[in-house]
Amino acid sequence: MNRGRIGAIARWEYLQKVRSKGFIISLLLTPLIVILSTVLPAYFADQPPDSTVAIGVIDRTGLYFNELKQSVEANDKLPDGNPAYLLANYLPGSRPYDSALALADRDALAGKIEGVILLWDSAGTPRVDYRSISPNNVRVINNFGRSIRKLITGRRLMAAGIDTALYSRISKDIDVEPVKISKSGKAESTGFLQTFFTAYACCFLLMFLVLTTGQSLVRSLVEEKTNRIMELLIGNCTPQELMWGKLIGLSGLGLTQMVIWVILGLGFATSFATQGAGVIASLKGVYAILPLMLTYIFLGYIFYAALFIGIGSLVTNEQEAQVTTSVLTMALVLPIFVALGVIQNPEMPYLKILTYIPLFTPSMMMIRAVTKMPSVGEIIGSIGVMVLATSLVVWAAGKIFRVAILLYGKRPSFREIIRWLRTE
Amino acid sequence: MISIEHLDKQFASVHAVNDISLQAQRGEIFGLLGPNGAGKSTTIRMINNIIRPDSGTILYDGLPFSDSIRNRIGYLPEERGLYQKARILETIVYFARLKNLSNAEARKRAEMWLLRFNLAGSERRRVEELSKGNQQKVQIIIALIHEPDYLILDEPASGLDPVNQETLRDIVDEQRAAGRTILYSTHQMELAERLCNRIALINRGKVVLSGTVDQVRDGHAGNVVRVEFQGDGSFLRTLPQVLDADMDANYAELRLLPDVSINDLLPHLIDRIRISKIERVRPSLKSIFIDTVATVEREEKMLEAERRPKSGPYNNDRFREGAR
Repeated sequence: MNRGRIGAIARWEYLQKVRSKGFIISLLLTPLIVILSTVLPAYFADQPPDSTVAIGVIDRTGLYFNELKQSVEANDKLPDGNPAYLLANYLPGSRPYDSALALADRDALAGKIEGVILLWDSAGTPRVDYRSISPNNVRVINNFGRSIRKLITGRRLMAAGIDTALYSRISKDIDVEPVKISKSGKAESTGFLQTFFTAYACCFLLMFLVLTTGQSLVRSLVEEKTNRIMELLIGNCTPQELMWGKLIGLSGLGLTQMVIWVILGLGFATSFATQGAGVIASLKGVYAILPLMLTYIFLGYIFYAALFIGIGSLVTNEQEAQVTTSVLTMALVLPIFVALGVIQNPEMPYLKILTYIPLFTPSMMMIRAVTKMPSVGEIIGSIGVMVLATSLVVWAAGKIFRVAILLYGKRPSFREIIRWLRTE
Repeated sequence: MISIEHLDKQFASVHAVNDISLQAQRGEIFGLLGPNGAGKSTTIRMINNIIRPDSGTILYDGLPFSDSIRNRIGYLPEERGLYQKARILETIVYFARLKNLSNAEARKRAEMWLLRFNLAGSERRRVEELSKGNQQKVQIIIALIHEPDYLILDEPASGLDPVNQETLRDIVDEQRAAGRTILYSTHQMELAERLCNRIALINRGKVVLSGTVDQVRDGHAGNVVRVEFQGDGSFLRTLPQVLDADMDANYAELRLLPDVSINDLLPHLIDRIRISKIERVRPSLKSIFIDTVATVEREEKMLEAERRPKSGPYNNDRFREGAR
């Protein structure tokens, strides 16, 4: 193999793809979609309203309206100091319940009030309804729910003759703090969310790396076949040089995408103080096992890339390319779902078996490593399985690639492929 | 010099190349002729080390194929294409880099060649913006840019307009004069007749004719007369004196029985067509080509008909016996 040629091929593949519109669009669009679909809705749901909202109250018990009005209007303030909510009593003593309800519904439909809070009594148990055009407004329900609960509890305590301050002291919630014991003897606290995040981030890292590289690999092979570039290429370099050149160049492409996304992700996370702190803390937790994680990512990456090369070189048109990539993508995504079980119980036997199926090994081991570090024997065993499987796939992919890239029109039969593997 | 000895390649059901031997010398254009599926492209692929022969040797100035020889071959495949989205100059430079040329040198030479092919100013354009003929010029540049010792051109002229065909002819001739070994595969017999020093006609994986163009034509001289005429000449092929006829609208090449002269023939023509010229000629490569391929096929059919009751429908021996 000629290193100069491999370098030239790698450079060409990288530059051609990194400048293509498709790559640039997916580079920017994917993080945008992730942010739009996950982080932003949660963020906006937490934001205080920007103007005073009118809420109607129909208090059939006749017990709570005044207190509720006082506590809500005094406690929920807008940033400019005005109250966030104004409460209107729709059931003054003079009006019958039915017409109060009809009036409130009418006002809600006309947009005069955001909704109506209905307090009533069902066989001695207080009940609260919230009627609105948008009855699932989380902010309103949370705010009023909390205030009303407090009022009702206060009334009950008073009726039972219990001191409210004493009650709140003895009923204080107790949080359980998970602390992970590590070999160094230093106890570090760990949140479930952080563990979850770290392991998943590593699996997704591997998945996107494989996807970007694998898809562009298959696509470039299809282009070279359908445009009849292959004959010219193979006149100028050996199939092995072409294979390694492509692999190196397109891995660079996947890495470029990864680095840019990680930078964007960290930048985004740190600009949101509360979540950001968690992300940074979880990164610290991974630091110690980073070499192990990278080993699995590396092995998994080569394994999948070789699969893409071997199967991709058999593809002769765009449709087949799509089917191939989606099947391989499924094999990639599957362990991420299976891994959910690992987080809950890393010791389940069937999860241990899955660990030794090469398609799943990297993801399974990465998730097991952050939840409960597997024994040294298991680590060596799984790396051994991975090295063996990867060598086998790389060997077979090379053999298939050498012959298959010259087949333009027809797809080879399984028997033919077996024959290629046997020929020297 | 490229010398091929007893080259053999068998695919699952086809004996694509059957014991081919030939030698293309330095400073000559060697024409590789033959019908579609004759085994020309398979031979060319083996010369380029794209596929391996089952047996036989290919030597390049006495040496077997190696990585440095790969860099000294310039190849224009028949099945050819380019990256459609890539820019023209960078495409040429990429392939030149694969041939071990430095970036600067590749750029310099690419610009020179683009100028020669009237494509100057197109360096930054994308390949897909070029016409098919212009894309082909880019492919020819790719085959030539590293000044290869061995130039292998598979149907290089197909798709080019007459003006560019002339440019290509001049370039190929220059390359020959510069001492390159040129293998030129084509169906275009007139072109081969004018351009090639020596030829080999391949049919069904075997060399059925070879030598200099003159040798081949003399070897098939026979009793051939060329008639230029006006009128309906379709009766010519039915005359008892005529063995075989290559007919066109207003001329015909007639192969006559051995003892028939022009004088014997004239009385049969004089009343039926208006003759403007009649002469004894050597047959053209085209008529030799058609004649040879047709003869081989005729003989094969006869052999097969004789054999069918005794052996199976497929027998490799027929290739050996069917050839001249």
